[in-house]
Amino acid sequence: MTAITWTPLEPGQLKAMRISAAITGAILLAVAIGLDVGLLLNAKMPFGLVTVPVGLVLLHFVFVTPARRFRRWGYAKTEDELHVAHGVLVHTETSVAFHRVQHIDVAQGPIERMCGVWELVLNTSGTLNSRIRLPGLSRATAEALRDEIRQRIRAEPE
Amino acid sequence: MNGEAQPRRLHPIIPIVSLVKQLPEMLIPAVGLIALARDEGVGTLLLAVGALLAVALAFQILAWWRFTYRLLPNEMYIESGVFTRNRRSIPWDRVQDVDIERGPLARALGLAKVKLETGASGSDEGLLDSIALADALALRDEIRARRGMVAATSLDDEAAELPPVFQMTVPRILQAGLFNFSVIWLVVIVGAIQYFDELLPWSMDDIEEWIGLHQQEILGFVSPVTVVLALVLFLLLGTVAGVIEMFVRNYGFTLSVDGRTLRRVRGLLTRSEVAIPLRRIQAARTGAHWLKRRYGLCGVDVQTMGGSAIGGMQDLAPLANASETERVLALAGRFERIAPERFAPVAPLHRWREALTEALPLALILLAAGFIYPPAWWGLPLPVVIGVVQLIAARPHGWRLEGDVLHVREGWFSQDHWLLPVANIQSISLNTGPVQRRLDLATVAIDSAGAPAGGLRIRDLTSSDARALVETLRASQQNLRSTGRSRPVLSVA
Repeated sequence: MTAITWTPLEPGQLKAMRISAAITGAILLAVAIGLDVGLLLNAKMPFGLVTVPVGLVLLHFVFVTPARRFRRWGYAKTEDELHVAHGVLVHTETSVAFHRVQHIDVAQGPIERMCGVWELVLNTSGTLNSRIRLPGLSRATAEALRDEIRQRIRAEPE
Repeated sequence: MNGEAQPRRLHPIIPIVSLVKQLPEMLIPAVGLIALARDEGVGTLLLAVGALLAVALAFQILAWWRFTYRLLPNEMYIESGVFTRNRRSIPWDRVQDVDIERGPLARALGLAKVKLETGASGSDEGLLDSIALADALALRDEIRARRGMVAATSLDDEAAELPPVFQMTVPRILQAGLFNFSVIWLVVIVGAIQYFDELLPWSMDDIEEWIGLHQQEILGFVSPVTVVLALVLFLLLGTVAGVIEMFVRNYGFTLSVDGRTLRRVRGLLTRSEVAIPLRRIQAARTGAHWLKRRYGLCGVDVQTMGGSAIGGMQDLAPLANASETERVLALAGRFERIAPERFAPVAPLHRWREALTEALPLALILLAAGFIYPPAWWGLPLPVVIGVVQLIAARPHGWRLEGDVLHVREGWFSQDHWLLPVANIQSISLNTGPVQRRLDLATVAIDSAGAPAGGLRIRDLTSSDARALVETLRASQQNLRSTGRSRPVLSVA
């Protein structure tokens, strides 16, 4: 039927994803170095036994996957539905009709605040996928989407 | 309405209450502090603990300050969060009821927790924790007035007079109990024997001694005959346990209808009474393992919208014959089963993908283990059996959209048939995993209110079929909406 034209997220979201990946990566790297030091002192193992492989995986995790994940994210608003696509390993495309939305959150975490992006969350009364998340929106877009969906809910009492 | 857009806050005592509730979580950092400051003397220690408490309190006060709620003309607007800021809008149209809850602490402090029930499944969707009781009562009345709601009618105990729609008679319970046999009972029984073996003053070994048998003689007894006897005994015990469980749970099972509410009474030791409003029913399911199917029997349950008291799957008939099933389904929401041959099968590759996903990892592990410990190779028939079982179990998987109801069938050993009105679909997802992408397959996952874990999935459709199904469901949803039937008309026939 109607072809969906996907809108990518704000570039700020890529930055946010990189920062949070870098933070996670740094913590894991510290753990790996700690393990290595422990092995060196207690078992006289050569240093780098853990750090090198973990470091290589983390390099990939910090420098490659965020961009890949970012590219998979997209959303499309049709007349009465919101579509959200994401996922690198498992591709997921979710569609939710506006009249199913129970309430709407516009949220911003500390990293997102640094990058100037907002997240829109549509809450439905479903159970498995009751929170449909759409991160990486500008404040104006997030609020415009919220207001429009809110308008729909009001126009359609149950 | 009377210009009440002023932000309101929770009761000012809340930061202290939250701090007290948070104390157990602070135990670990506190222990750390004590360990660090052990040599520093009591003064430093108290200072450090005091500083920790002060920071926590400051954080709680900030959180309290940031949490505001506003009663706007069309919605409740809640702002919250210290690090992560959140602005939530709950349209009045969506508020189904207002709950007031008071725990022991709240009663002591004259507080009350207010919860707006919207039917969304998040537990804290519209939670005000907590405000003064008088404010809570006023707020509830105000919201109810806006919503045009009347006070919820309480359940009365005159349900006994209603004519039953479905009953479990004693022979039926016996029959259900016989079918209730499962491997789980065996595990429970074996476990119980071992457990009691330790508790009893004498053990199984003593009994053996009493009878005058010695270890060697016992081994001599292990012949095909004794093995068969032991199996028969286990089967017998399992069956008896199944029957007892069924009696305890479903003795006097009666389903009746009272206006727009189903009432279910059951239980031998604890008699439970449940009222299921018809409008809360989202989907129906009939389930039967292969033995029940041979006798034309099945169980019926319905998926109800989350909420406080009832939610999730509710039994409407533990074991029913064909005509009873039709009657219960019709009553629960004009559901009608379709003939088995009408289901459209998913892609033929589904069975093989399912079998390989289940069997391949185990096969590889056993194969690899065999190089270190050769007897592991004797385990290789196991993944083969698992694979074959999956090939059989995955065969019946299929779907059909009949009118406004989506039918999904799955499983062979135990087969479920789901009936979900399109009007109750909350969201639709199209998922494709890495293996599926190579095989050009996709899974359609359909979410509805109160769906149990796993949910309704139509797995491994060809990707074009999957897209077509999503489009059909969306079109069907839109169609329902434009004809003004966004919710199914559920009424008693």
